[in-house]
Amino acid sequence: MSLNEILLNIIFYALALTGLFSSFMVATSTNMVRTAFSLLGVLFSFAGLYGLLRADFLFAAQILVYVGGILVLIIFAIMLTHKIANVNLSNESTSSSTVIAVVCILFAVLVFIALTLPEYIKINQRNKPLTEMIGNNLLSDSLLPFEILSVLLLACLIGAVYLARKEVKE
Amino acid sequence: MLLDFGVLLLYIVIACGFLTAALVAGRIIRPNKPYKDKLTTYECGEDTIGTSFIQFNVRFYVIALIFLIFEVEIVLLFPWAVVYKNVGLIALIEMGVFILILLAGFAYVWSQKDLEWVKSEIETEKEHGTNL
Repeated sequence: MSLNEILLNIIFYALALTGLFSSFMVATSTNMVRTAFSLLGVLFSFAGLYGLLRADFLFAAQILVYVGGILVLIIFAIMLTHKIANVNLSNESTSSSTVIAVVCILFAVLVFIALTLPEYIKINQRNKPLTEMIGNNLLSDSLLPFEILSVLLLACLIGAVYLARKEVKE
Repeated sequence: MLLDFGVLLLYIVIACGFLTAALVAGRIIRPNKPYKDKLTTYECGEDTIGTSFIQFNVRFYVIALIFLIFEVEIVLLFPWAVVYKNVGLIALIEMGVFILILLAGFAYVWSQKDLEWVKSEIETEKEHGTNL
């Protein structure tokens, strides 16, 4: 193993362990605010893993949209909760037998995918940024889905604002 | 390309290192003499009341939602901007349509006064009276 590979392995395991630890915190913490902030670690380590797979666009989108947008939204949602002072009681764990069953099934699915589809998870070997390829694709083959996406976003915007607007009158 | 990510990682590591070094050095050097008044939360010289967990105005959430939608739009602008020069006019038209459709949503939100921070209660009642 060359020095390069050793370094990459170290970075991979550091990111994977950070992700695992943060996910564990998300699952076990009973404080909603701490859960939300642990999610930050999960999302960041996943962004790092995307970077390691040389998926540059996914890396940027993960940080911009998930960390910068969705996480802020989740934290706002927690802060909007009525009895925010009693956060300790708001996130009770489900029974461990259910959790173990679900985790086992998910793990089996993941192992199955990893073993049967080695070609599926292919690292970007061309060593070239993928953003350009995605851009070309958006302007040729995926032109219609791209435009439909804007309609979907429009529907999301109007629907979300309509639902969120129903504020309680004092 | 992986090297670019390496540079980014190095930047993050050095930034975190500087922060840690400064905090650790501060902890080692500074004298440690705490007393009750010194340990109170600093709030611009005012005495603090209650906990820091307070309920936020729902308006923050609406603004964050709108922000998120347009952030997705901005993320999709990046791959378009990279190839714009090679594709030319079609790219411009396509993105024009894309932005125009979302602009309709922006106009709707604006006309419904969801972007206005200070909304009088009478106005709220008048507009959404049936919904409440």
